[in-house]
Amino acid sequence: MIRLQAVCKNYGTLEAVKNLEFTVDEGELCCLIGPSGCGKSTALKMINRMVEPTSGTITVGGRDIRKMVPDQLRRGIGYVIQSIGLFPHMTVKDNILVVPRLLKWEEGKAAARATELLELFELPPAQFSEKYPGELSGGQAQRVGVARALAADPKILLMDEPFGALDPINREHLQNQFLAIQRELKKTIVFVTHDIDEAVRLGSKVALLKQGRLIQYATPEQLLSSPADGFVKKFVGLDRALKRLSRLSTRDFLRPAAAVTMTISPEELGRQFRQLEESQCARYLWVIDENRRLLGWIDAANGGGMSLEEGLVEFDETEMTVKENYSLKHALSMFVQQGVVCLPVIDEQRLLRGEIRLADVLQS
Amino acid sequence: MYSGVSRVGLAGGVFAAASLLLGNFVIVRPNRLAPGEPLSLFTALPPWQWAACLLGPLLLIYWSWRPSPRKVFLATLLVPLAFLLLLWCQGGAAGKLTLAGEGFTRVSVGSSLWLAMLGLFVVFTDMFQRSSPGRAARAALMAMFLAGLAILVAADRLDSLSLAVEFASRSDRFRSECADHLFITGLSVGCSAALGLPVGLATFKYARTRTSVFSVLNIIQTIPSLALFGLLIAPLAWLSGEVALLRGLGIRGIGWAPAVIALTLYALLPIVRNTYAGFAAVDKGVLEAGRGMGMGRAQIFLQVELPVAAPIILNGLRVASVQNIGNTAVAALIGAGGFGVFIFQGLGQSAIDLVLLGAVPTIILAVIVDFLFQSIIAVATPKGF
Repeated sequence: MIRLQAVCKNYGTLEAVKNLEFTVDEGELCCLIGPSGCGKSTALKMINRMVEPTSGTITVGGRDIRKMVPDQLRRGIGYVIQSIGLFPHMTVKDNILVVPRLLKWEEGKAAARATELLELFELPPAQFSEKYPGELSGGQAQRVGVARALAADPKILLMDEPFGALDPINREHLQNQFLAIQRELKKTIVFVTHDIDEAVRLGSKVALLKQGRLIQYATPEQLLSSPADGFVKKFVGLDRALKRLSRLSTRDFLRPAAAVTMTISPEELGRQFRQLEESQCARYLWVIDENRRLLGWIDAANGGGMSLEEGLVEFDETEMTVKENYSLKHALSMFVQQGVVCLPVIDEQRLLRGEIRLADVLQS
Repeated sequence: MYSGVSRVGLAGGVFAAASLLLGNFVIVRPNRLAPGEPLSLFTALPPWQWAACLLGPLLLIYWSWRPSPRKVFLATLLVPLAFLLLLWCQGGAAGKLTLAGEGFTRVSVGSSLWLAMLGLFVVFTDMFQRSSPGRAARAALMAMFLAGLAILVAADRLDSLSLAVEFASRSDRFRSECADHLFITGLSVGCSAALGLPVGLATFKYARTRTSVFSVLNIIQTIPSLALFGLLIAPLAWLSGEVALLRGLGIRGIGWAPAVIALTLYALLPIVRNTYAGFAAVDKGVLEAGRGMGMGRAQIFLQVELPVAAPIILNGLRVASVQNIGNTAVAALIGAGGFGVFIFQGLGQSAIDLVLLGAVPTIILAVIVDFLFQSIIAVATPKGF
């Protein structure tokens, strides 16, 4: 979809980008990453001709971009920058509709599109469409910024550190939301970031640049497991293994869990415990109600002598359970924090889906 | 908001009441140039009138001391009424005193009326802010006040005041000077805008021009207006002598031409500076986003830069206009005409009411133009700011 061949960019004697070559296939999210001044932003801006390359060829959808009118090219490519650049004198809706209106969409179709995008980004249209950028929080403004880039439904999106100015909580929230949307829309995206965690988390490909040169172009897994050289190794950090975990989710280690209901007889409970002794998660049994809703657990050490009502240990959902879409990094930190070897996996309704075991994670 | 004492209102009310009690309500002169005899509120007016005049400020003092939403609303209404009442009583007193005197007797507005009006205005600003009326209410208030004034004028109630007598004997002259004043101010601001807007845009686009342009404009601003008028006389007189076309246009060493040129130069600084500031206020990220989305240069200029810059640019025009209305008064000295003619005539004859006939309309004109620009700016300002 996007192909850079022998692309160079010089500013006077400074070689900002040297002989850059890579291809981004359709539906891929390619993260350009590297230390500041490595040419990643320049590389991005050459794709929509905000910056003209000194030499080399860039093709988008098989067409040489030098043969296209810059404004036409840009209207077909979504563009998001760190400072967002929402037009302060236009409402959220008018901001989103800049490109559709440049493309002379019919007004009814455009308005429907704005509503659809606001809903997609969980910004209720009734509340937000007539607001002005000055009235939005940073996270809301950046969501409008991404929505604006998607407005005319471009196949390609260029994003220049879009979440860089947000606080960590907002950034993670936006990353999750963005990932979910990308899974659905399958745009071809080039994404500049200086945050390796972000690159590993979001990218299906990562291109690592240093002083204008491409050092390694690989999937995040490859980048983390087999760094090309010492620079890459240093750049991705010593916690490479942990970073890989952030690409995996709880879902990947889900296994069925043994659970009992409150109505179980003491004899049956004893039998269940004996059965467990062979497994590594020997001490616990999850306790559920008739709808498979998780109530708590019962400890084998107490379970023998007591009835279920007395032995039931209830717990706080946020501290002792994980959900299927949690990153494995999150789950691991919960294992360590709670000092347990086994965690129940639940869904939004707190229904028990299974469990994950520390031992499984460690083996991977 | 209403719980607190309105200190501003209190001060204004006390000031108005005190100046009515202690100051001279009218000044009676045997003729327009002779020194006058001041009369207090109590000697100039029958008891019920002076009581009514004092009642307004006293009520305002009480309401400022114990404000409530209702009292604030009433105070906003009362101030214009008290204003009109003072004028009505003043006109009445002037009429009686003129009749009682000999043929040349003149009755001028005394200090207490000016000061009381100032005090009332102070109360009004605070009460107006507190009640923050909507657009319709503002318009109604304005209409009520203007209608009151019109009735006073139409009923010949103010005719005996010396200021009105001076006006009556010069009404044709007044109209032509008013036209001259508007012409000189309007033409100079227009020329300055035609020149200043492109120059301001250039200082924004080409950083290199900035320092030189602004230092030249700053130097112009430091030249006293009278000196600049004077400096232009010689070269213009020479040009007019040499070029018949200019002479045909009425351009001479004195008159409106040097005035318009000098005032155009003065107005340049606020216009150029605000044009630059307006465009500089557009965020760089906004421009990059616009370009990145495929907007053309003209589209970015018309749809993004201009709307964001417009209120700031208009504000420059506002400052330039108000400043030039004042400076045009000075231009009367080089024969340019305008309200300044009355001011300098009055100064020459020591006829203070003639000075006022020039000064008061100049101030009113400045206030009106300022108000008009503020309204335009309010409309032109995008809601997001």
